[in-house]
Amino acid sequence: MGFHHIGGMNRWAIPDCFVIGFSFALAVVSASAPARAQGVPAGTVIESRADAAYEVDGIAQTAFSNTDAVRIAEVIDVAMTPVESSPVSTGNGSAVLTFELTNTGNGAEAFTLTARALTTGIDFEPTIVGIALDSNGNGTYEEGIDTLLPAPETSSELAQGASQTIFVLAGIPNGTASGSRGEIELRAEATTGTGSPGDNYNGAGEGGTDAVIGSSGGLATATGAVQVSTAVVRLIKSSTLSDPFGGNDPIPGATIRYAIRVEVSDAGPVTNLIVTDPIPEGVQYTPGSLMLDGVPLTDPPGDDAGQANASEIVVSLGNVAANTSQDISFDVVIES
Amino acid sequence: MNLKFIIPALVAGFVVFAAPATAVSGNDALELAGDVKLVKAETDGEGNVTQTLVDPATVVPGDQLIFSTRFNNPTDQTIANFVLTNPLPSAVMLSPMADPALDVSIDGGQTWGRLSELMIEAEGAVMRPATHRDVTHIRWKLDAVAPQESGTLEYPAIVR
Repeated sequence: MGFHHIGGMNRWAIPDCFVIGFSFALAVVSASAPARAQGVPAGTVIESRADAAYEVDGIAQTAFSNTDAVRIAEVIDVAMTPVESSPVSTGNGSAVLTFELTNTGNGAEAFTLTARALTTGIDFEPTIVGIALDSNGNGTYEEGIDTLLPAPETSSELAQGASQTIFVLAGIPNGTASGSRGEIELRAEATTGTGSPGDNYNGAGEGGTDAVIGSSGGLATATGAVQVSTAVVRLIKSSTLSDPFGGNDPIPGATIRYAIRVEVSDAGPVTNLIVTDPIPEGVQYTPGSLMLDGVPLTDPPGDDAGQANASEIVVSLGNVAANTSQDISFDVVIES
Repeated sequence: MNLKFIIPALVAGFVVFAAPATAVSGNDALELAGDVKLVKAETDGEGNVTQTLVDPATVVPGDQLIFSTRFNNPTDQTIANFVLTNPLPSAVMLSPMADPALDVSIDGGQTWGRLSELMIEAEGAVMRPATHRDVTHIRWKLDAVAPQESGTLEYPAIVR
């Protein structure tokens, strides 16, 4: 059987052991480096068969080649990101940090999860209470629903490209000063294995394919921060007296304007701050006099931040940032 | 042996392909052997990349494959108007390394041309130039394969 090089633009002959020395191929190779995340699912079979049409003595003929089959192996890859972009603030001795784990490989894979407190560049080390999966996918940790994982903590088996929300429950040691910052690292490692990109776990991939470690090395880490915030709210109350005669004597009919300054310390914010002040004995609230930062509030409840009646004033300030202050004022008249 | 003859011959080939029970004769004039190799790139200490072809034992997305078809005419007769067609498996795309002069189809083998000459309908019925990702078939045409002549036709592809 002869073997000839075939001339022409679109065809060339190669021996089986042909070594390609294309220097111009470099850019292509780097752009399509093996073990790219995602892509064709593991276990996919690539089948190829050529067909030919030709003539012999003017009679049309056809021929088919054999079918080549190549099965795609599993790439082990993973990514993880913290969900909170700023430190989780806590004042009650515990905190929940949220992470998103994504299977960036091309086969189903579960990941073992390990959380630890970082020990450098921080003010304190939170304790690790446990790790929980977001069992109902609502993105919020719910005690009793999102139960703590038993050891070894492991994610669900995630399909190619699928993500799962992971919660790390942290404890704050007693006596940790307000404003202290700690960090927790969550690490995910593919249960099939980790290693250097290109490492091959023969037969360990989906459907008995080889499992090849991708660019992530089969593991991912993400760090979240927690900040202790035992905010202090200061209420500073003052009064101004003005009598009906232009003076400031505390006589019946004189008006007392009470001013309450509400300050939140730099360990804020505080949430759902409500200021209540009872009307003292011997004075009557002046209807319509309640104000917040100089802006009148109505007396009936429900329509704005304030409400007032004969016995008390109530102002709901909601969430108040650190290092801010607000001023409440109202008038009473000394009874005769 | 010009192009005008080749196209009717190809159409006839597809008719036979669709109805193998009526395949023409038992003439085994042509032998075709398909093969696929994995391109393995290795970088030496000086940064030089050497690519070798290996058996595709472990293939992952992003890998480059070389699909080849070896043809052989073992007879004493000349084979004329030889057209070899390779459908691209859906899990691969034609490599950007491929010869730009390749005769390709982006519509399942209905129409053919150089990739640079082909347009494909994009979203919103807008036509855009076809890319390597769009190629569905590749074919080669040889006017003649002489008696005892053999050779290999191949194309590079990248696993999607």
